[in-house]
Amino acid sequence: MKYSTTLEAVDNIITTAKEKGIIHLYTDDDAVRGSNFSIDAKTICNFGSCSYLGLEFDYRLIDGAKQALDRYGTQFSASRAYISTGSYATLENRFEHIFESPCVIVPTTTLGHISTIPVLIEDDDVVILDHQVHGTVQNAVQLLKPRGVKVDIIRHNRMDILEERIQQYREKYKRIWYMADGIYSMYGDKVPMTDIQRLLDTYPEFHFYVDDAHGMSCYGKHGRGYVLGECDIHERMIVATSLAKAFATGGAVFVFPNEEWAHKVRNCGGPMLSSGPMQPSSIGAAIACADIHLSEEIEQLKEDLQQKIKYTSILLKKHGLPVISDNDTPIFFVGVGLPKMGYNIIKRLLDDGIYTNIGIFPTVPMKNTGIRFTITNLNTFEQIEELVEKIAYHFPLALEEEGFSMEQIYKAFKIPTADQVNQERISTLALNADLSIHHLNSIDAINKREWDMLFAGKGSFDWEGVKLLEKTFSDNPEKENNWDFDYLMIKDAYDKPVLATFMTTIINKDDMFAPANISRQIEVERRNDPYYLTSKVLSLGSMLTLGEHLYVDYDSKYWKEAIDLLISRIYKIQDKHGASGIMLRDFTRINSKLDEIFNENGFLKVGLSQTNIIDNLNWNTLEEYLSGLTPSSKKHVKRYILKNEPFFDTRIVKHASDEQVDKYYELYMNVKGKSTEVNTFDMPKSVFHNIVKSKNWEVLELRIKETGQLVGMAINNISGKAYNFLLAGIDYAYQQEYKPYKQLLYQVVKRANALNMKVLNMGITTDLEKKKVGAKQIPIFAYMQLKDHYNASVIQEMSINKIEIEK
Amino acid sequence: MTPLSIGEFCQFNLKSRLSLLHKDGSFLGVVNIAEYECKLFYLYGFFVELVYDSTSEEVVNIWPITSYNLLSLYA
Repeated sequence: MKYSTTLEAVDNIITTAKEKGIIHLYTDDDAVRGSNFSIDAKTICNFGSCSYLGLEFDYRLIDGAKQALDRYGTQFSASRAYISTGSYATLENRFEHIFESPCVIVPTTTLGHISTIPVLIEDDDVVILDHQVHGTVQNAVQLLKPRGVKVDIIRHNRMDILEERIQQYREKYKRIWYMADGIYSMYGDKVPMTDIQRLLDTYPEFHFYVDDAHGMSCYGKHGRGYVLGECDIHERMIVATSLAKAFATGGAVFVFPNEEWAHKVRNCGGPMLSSGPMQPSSIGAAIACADIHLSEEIEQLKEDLQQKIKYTSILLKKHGLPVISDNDTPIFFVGVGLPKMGYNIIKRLLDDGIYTNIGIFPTVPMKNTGIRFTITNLNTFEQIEELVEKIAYHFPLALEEEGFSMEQIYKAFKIPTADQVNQERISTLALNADLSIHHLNSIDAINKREWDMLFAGKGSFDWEGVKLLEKTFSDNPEKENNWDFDYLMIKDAYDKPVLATFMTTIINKDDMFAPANISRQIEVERRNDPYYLTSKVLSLGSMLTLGEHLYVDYDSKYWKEAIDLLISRIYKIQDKHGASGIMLRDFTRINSKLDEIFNENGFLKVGLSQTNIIDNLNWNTLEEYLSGLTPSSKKHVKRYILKNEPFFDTRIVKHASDEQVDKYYELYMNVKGKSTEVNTFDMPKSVFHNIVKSKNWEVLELRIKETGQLVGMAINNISGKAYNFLLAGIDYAYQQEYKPYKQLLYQVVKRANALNMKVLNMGITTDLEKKKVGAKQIPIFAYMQLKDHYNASVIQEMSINKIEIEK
Repeated sequence: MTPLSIGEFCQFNLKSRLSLLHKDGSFLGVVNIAEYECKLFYLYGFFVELVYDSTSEEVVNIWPITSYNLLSLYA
């Protein structure tokens, strides 16, 4: 997925959440104290704070800050490379007592990662990221890529996969760094330290880099954190921790196992040289807080927090709420499924005096939206009870409003279902809108005329076209060539179609639209594992059809209910076929209402490519055709196509022999092998055998007149008044002299004109060549939803510099 | 109010039990035994005894009472 697409999706989600009044909020208090604040003159109880011990209002920290302000002013604006206030040395000393290890203090964890990672990771190392490691770590790791450092990514908390990678990499790389969080900031789960310790003891190459921001102060001796509460710092471990959460002062500390690493980061870390320090007031507060950590008081504070966490967990279980991670951390995540459920329930809670966070894309997958809340020592037992009871009260109301079910939530998060689940709400929605759903698995069960009334002329998926696909893509030895077909028609009380579509579920290469150099790397891996980075995807339409696969009667007053039913049914089909992704394609126009519905249901709008069409085929002479081209295209056609046309024979073949089909396939594989824009599995030869027997298909052959050599072929479909150019094959040995591909495109245009077609669909790829013969480019987009982003994350992380590509 | 079971209540430390008692308990009676002041509460459907040491001026125990013999002391 392109980065710009992700940004656009994030922007849409944030904008929607802002419009719903649940983010980008401001308190309207003159001062904030305790666990409450005011928004729009309403008192709200805060369950969104990461200051877990409630120390931000402690008079000792506030006094420490005030005294530091009096002594040093508001800032000491000098790089730490040059000079620091004496209070810095005092604080460093405190932390060396807390951690009993060398430490480096930095203004933020973000700057700390940027200081540490590029300095200590060497070019011969490999970095393995946990899929959910904090964004600040992932961002710092990006700085390694220009140096060619190998970066890998593994599924969250999968120690078995980590160990496999260690065994795989230990012969090739000097050091293997695994980067994770101590406590993960969304679900509140922990890194399995027992396994990490075992791996550290077993593999001398293994190193562990952990961001324990949410563990600081809440666990361990002197509140040194979750990770260092489980074990002493290992000689191959680095711990980053934040002072801006439970420590309540701002800043961060990086803990090293030896002086050498600490000095190297202190001396060479970019932000250590060029960024500003922690400000005096923060340092003053931090010294006071460090004194609390070095006293017995920290134990009571930690214990108080644990008691409240325990109370919260018990109440959540009692109310049967879908808590995602059952653990003893102060971060809780109650799954709600789709973004629209998240918006609904967060707003309800806010209106009812409870502030929580929405856990939403991109921090979690789109269908794994949830209520994220935190517990601090400032929250009383009464407030916690009120929180849980209000969530329990509003939850079923939000489900009812959004037409969602608990069962869907449990499925989305892959957690065991509760004892009582709601029934799927399809029947209720359908009854309310007086709609009937017809879900079928073969085009044979659908009235040909009814189908063609909706889809003939729109692409190659009229009744005969889909029939051919069903016949071709079944009973093949390769699993990627066996497709599941589903057809959906939703009709009103008068039996008139309100919505219709067909879907295929197939195994896709996840790098289909990735840059060519990334696909090349992945194809190297696929020599050992042909299904590496592939997923089952449920799509509207199919790989061999282009066009708007979704028919919607927007004049029907039930069209929105029909879309809801479609989405609901798609999830069932997805489960049935075990698909990990859904792709609703191809759209060429944006319908803002449809866009909103898909957005609220957790679908991401992605730009796919451009499709090429010619809808001006009315010319009668060559001159008329040329006059419709741009000056540069006209020049191109004359120079490279018309000039060579006399050297070619063009033939239309309706019934080809097996030998001819073999040759067509050979030419197709030439083009497939050179294709860099879209990476797909090869079409099976049976496609060609079936096509040449079908009356709606024809093959346009291009031969050298002198020798009769077949140098190009185009497989085309006729559907109503649409001519669809679908597959091409070229003999590149003749490319230099005769330019057969250009000629082929031109001959396809001529053929469409000769058949008196209204539109020629030329498909995606080779836009420039198609433009030259008169095609216009129409951007196409889809709405996509992934169950998890792991494969997409791996593809994004792939480094191109250090991979050795075998020839 | 969301009631806890006896087992759930017993998972909490003294300080938390006191908070829960204060929040949801109903005071029933008191007996004095030597330097201890013992108070009986009804909480979440069971009885809870709070033991206060008047010498050290601190709560020393809070526990559920399931024995009839102990309950009868408050009769």
